[in-house]
Amino acid sequence: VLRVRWLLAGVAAIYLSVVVLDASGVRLDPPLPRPFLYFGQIAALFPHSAPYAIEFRAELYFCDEKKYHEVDATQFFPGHEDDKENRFARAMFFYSTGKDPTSAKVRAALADYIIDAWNGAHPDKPVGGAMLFSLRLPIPQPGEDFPRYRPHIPARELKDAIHKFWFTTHPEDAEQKCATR
Amino acid sequence: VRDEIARFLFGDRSLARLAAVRIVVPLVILSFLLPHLIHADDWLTRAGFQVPRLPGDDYRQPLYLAPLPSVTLAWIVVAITVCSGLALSAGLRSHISGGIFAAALVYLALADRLATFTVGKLGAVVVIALAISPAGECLSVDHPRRDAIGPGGTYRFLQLLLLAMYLGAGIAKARGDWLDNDLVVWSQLHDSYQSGIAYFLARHVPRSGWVIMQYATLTLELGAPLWLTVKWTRPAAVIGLLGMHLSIALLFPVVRWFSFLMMTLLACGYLSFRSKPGSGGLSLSSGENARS
Repeated sequence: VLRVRWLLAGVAAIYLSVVVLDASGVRLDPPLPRPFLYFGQIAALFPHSAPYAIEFRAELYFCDEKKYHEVDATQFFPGHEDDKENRFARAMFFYSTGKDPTSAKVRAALADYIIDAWNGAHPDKPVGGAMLFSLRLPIPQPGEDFPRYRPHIPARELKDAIHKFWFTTHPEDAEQKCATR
Repeated sequence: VRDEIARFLFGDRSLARLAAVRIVVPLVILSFLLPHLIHADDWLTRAGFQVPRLPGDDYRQPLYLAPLPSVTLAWIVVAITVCSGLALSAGLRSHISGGIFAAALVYLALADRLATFTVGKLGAVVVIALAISPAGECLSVDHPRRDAIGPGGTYRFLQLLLLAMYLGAGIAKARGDWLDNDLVVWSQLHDSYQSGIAYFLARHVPRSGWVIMQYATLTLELGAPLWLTVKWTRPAAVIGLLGMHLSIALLFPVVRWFSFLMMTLLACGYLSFRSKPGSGGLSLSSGENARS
């Protein structure tokens, strides 16, 4: 029993070290397996200031109008629809970090999923393409007047927001998809 | 020396506080998971969006687990998670229910990175520790007695886990912007985490208030291993840290389950529930160990 206890104490000591070292920026992969590290990556919470309040949005290409219109993408990602813990926002958060092919692949899969989900829910208003983008809303200075945060305000009403586009379906692909509907 | 270390780590102690963690933590974790549990099909199968398998060893996908092949299976996983969590909380076959709940939490945390936050990962680790502990030896369906004596290894682990969490959090903040930018806390008040209280305070608390809050947080977290282990500073540190977590829950209600999880570990680990076996009761003390 004592040997088992010391063994468990050793594993616990390694885990606790991972919690501190990972938060301290020490790279531990290798030698430690990534799933083990993952459960130790729990301490580095809010280390940076937020330069903007960031929201992620989607527009869809409507086949009949041949135009993009913003839609509420969170309707296809149930749970936390009104906050940034929604899975759509999380997917965009993780995979809108750069132009690396991996992120691009996930964004394309995300766009395809939203297009298919929309067409499944609204077969009378088919869409053929998607545009995924973020809105960067400026942070006010202390003492400035500012409105209360509200979710789902249409992007066009957020005059101060900076748009950053992360994915757009190729126009030919969008038309092709519309032609098959 | 080895005997002293062994006594410190594994020595017998009251299990009432560990039982309190066992009762509360599964309920907090299940509450946190609830928005996803009720949408199991979207969450765990291809009925919803799933991140595809990524090439190479991408840090955003520590282990690829394919989506479950059927919606029925997803609901079975959810049923197992909920039942085992409730059983652990009730103290029904704690080793078995804890083991099943821990396995379910590990699976869920790895299966969907998008819905996994600190509560999911930290919660899984805490439940693993509870599953192998004697946390079900009192205040449980199996053992309704109010207290019992048993090995204190898990209790020590949870205490040290808090110290590691706070120290790591403090170091990450110090390495980040918290020493260079006075308005880190202020900058977090303006997105979808914002509560009515946060909005009210943001409009009425002067800049200096946010700066004080920022450096008080940093001081509490960086110094936690000292504040929580020195007898004289422990009561103030516990109150300060409980206040910090309560503030987070009020300012950012979306992350309230993380706050409640930390407050539970903190209260049970350092704001000691002193129990006297046989006396049949729990009482709060200022943080002295409740070693028997």
